[in-house]
Amino acid sequence: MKLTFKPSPNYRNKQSTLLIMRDLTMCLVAVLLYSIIFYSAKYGASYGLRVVIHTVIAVGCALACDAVFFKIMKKDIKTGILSSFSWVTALILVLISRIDTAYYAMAVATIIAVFFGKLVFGGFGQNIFNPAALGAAIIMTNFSASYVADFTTGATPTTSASSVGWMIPRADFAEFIAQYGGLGNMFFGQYASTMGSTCALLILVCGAFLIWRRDIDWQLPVFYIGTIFVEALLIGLMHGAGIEYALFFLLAGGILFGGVFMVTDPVTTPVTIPGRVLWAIGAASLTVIIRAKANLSDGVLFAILLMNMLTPAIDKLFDGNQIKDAVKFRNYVLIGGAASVAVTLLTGIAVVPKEPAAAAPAASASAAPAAPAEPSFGEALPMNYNFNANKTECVLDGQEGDIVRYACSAKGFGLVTNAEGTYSRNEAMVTVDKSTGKATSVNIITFGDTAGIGDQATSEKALAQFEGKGLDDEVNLVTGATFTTRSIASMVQKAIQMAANGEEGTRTAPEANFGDALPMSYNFNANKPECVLDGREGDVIRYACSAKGFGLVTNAEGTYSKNEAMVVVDKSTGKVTSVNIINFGDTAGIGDMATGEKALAQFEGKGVDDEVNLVTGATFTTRSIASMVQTALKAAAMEE
Amino acid sequence: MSILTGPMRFHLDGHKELTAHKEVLFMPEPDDLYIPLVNGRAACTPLVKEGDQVKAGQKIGEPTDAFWYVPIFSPVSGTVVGIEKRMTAALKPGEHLHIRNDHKGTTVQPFAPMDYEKASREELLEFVKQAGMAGLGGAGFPTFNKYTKPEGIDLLIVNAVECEPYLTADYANSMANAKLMRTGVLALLKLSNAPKGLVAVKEDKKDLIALLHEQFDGTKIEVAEVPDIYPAGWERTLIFMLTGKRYDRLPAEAGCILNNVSTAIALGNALENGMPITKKYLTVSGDGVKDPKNVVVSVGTPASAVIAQCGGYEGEDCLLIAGGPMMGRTIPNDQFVIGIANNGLTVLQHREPFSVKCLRCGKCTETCPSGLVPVRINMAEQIKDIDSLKKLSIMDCIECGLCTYICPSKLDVTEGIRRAKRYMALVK
Ligand code: SF4
Ligand code: SF4
Repeated sequence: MKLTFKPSPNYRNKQSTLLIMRDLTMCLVAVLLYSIIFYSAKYGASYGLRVVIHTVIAVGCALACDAVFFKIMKKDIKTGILSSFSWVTALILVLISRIDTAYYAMAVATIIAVFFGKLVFGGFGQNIFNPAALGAAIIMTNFSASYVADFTTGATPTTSASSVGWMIPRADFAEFIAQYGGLGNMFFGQYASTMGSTCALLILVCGAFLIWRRDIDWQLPVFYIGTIFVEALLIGLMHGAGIEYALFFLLAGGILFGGVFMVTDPVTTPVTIPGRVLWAIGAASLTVIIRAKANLSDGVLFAILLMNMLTPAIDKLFDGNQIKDAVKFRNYVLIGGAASVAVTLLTGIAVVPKEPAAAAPAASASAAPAAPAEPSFGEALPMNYNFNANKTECVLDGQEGDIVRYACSAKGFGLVTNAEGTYSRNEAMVTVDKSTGKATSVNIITFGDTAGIGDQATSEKALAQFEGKGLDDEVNLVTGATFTTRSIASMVQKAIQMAANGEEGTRTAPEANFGDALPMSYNFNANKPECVLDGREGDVIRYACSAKGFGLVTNAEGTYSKNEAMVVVDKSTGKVTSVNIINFGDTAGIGDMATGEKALAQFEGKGVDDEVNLVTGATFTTRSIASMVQTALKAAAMEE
Repeated sequence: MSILTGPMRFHLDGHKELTAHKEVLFMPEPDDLYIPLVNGRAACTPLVKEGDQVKAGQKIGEPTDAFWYVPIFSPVSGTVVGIEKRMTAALKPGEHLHIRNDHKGTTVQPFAPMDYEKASREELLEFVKQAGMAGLGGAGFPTFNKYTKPEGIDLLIVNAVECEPYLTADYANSMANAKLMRTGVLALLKLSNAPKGLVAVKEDKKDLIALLHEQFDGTKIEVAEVPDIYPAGWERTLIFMLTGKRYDRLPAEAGCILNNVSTAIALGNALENGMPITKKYLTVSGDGVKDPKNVVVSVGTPASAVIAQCGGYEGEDCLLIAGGPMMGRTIPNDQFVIGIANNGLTVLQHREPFSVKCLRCGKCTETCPSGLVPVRINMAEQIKDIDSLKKLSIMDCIECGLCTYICPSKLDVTEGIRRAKRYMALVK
């Protein structure tokens, strides 16, 4: 028996840093699992797998970094890892990265985050910058080529919002938000963003859990998220946007994830409560300013990193006795907080909705109607408007005398990412009378924007207004479909210009590359293919078929676009003779690779026991077409 | 502005069930007693010399200072062996009067009982002084000093909160001596000139609350229930909870006088029975002792004898703490004796916690009842940043221990603050 001396107190709370990190890890893993399930369900197992691989890479690199570091420092590696918590950094890093981040970039980022973000400062507890934010910022700024094109999910709400200057006037809001299935959908996480910023509900539940467990304190997330909400609301009101804009502002991008998992990082935030409140208000204001003003898609990371630099100063400011100096400290918070909110709002006044929303909001009192009715016209749109943002292209498609026909395409406003960028494309045939320099007709070939909203600009009446218009004339924006109207107008403008100059343009047709094999006996139930007999000559039978595609476009039947094709089958051999696409409902620029001649040719001569190949980057469309072919083959077999 | 401050307190697992409802052991008097010649904080000159016969209750030490006036009385009858140097609970050698018990129990009454209702306030005050009443909550502050000039006092607070984990001695004492408590509390109220008094008790001690109502309903004393948090029993926290007032130096600035309930009971005993403080209710508890319980021991009994009465130590490496684990001191030697201000021995098995670097979580800041920023004090102390240490008002730290308790990284935060205090005392 021995009696030991230890200075008092000799009593300890059960909560330990290790337990805090365990709770945090649990929450991060929950968000990660959600992400895996979401991506697998929405985009296919390979996307889910990608999230898993990213996680394995990041956590592996983090632990390896720790191990090497503690080996060099001649410390016990296991104890070192258990008191360094780098896996948390790695998990956060994965969750704030985009799914199309290259694997090597993830590895580099993790190593930078753990080594330069943490270990060089002397390890856990000593670092100045939030290590995960540092790592992510470095991939974002220095490795912009590090995204792989195969994993496309569509523009995240942040990139879309950022390209319109984070300002969406009320009249355009419904159109804008419909791309993501509405605010409710965003709240439940049914949209693509960074890997972790999907389900707002789940993130908030995690936050509540961590606060309840006293793992994080409530002031940081509440003041951070609350301040952003208030600022977004006020800025929105200044520009005629409502509360739904402020909600969108919160739901899009990393604010909630950052608010729960990153601004609450104790190591890099002040240690006093008034200090934290001031820090949170500052970080919130910076987030808003960066979003509104800087050329970055999401402000959260940089706001955190900038505020990290101020942490030591804030700590110093609040050194003292929290009771005796309470009034002084409160005043610091009030003055500092008010100043940063004021600066944000001043910046906010200057926020001009950028292209493609350069024009003032359509002056219609009613919000955008949900059901397409007759288009109603709003503001005038001069045909010589600068449409650069629409990246319009036209190719000569035919000519009869003075009448030239151009096949044009232009950026629309939808969410779908395609090879060229982050916007959907609309395509139209525009005919121009060279002698007068006026458009004679406009026909929409592919409509890539949001059905039910944007398509009001494609109605007959809306298109008719272009007829007889030249560059000096004006048309009118269709209320609630202003983006689409501009997209179409840009094509008309281009066609007129090209006709005047006699240009032809060049077409860059997407070439199909083939990937995995797809057996024709595959179960295509999900595509809901249907075929009806359309004609018959002896053994050769033609079917008009339709099947669900993959576009985001909502139509009457449900939430998917439909593709339609004519499939001709030789009943005597049970093989396909030809496939022709009648109606392509999927995403132009992506899915249409599966509709190219080469892609369709592969079905010829195939029966139900044969295989075709998936077209890379257009796998859903390939399956959609294959499902129709299969149905036609089966139907033909049943025929007399 | 409670949004900008933390709770400044915390609910601790009190482990009070270990001892609260066990039978109290009246410990047999030991053969040898060593009465510290510093009584509480009052240094005394002995009134007896080697070879003298003493009786239980006899005054044997006279304080040398008129302010720190707490005379010493013998707990037992027997022979004075001499004055010996022994290690005290403060881990310093100190003089003790060694008395060999003759186990005859011959008793004298050192002073006559008094009817506090009839006596004048001045007579009562003098009685309190002569009877050697002192703060038994741990401080040992002479009681009469608090009441010499009770100007502007509008509230007497009797502290029965006992917020230290493990300790239940006050509780057991109150439960057993309700009548004496009533007398003592009402006498203190008279001394304080306050229009009313409160007995503060933790809300979870239902039986004590019922007993208090029984005793005090119909008097000017009310029962105030406080939440089960630490340090609810600390003066500043208690006064803030009961009155909403904070003060700078003394409770009197908030119009309050505070005394511990054990002090009130001791006063009741002196008034009714004419007996001084020679015995103490003491909690012996913790996972390092075989049979935790409350004991009643004579002042001057060595801690080793008390532990032996409770089944001895459990485990191979223990921390012996005079008092509770939060504010009590660990003493690596069980030869020190129980003094009037002791109210517990906590014995805990010693396990080193797995500690990591400070994660700057700020929990110490949020819970510090004095409103300090312990983490900043520790960081400033490590780099000897005098300017920061000056700003951080380290002298306000009461060493309550909450910052170490709460620290998830298992750092010795409180000790860092003590180091800072010592360092600042040096550079001054
Ligand atoms: S020991 Fe001192 S610094 Fe620590 S919590 Fe208690 S009063 Fe505050
Ligand atoms: S409680 Fe411990 S870990 Fe947290 S800030 Fe204070 S000293 Fe650091």
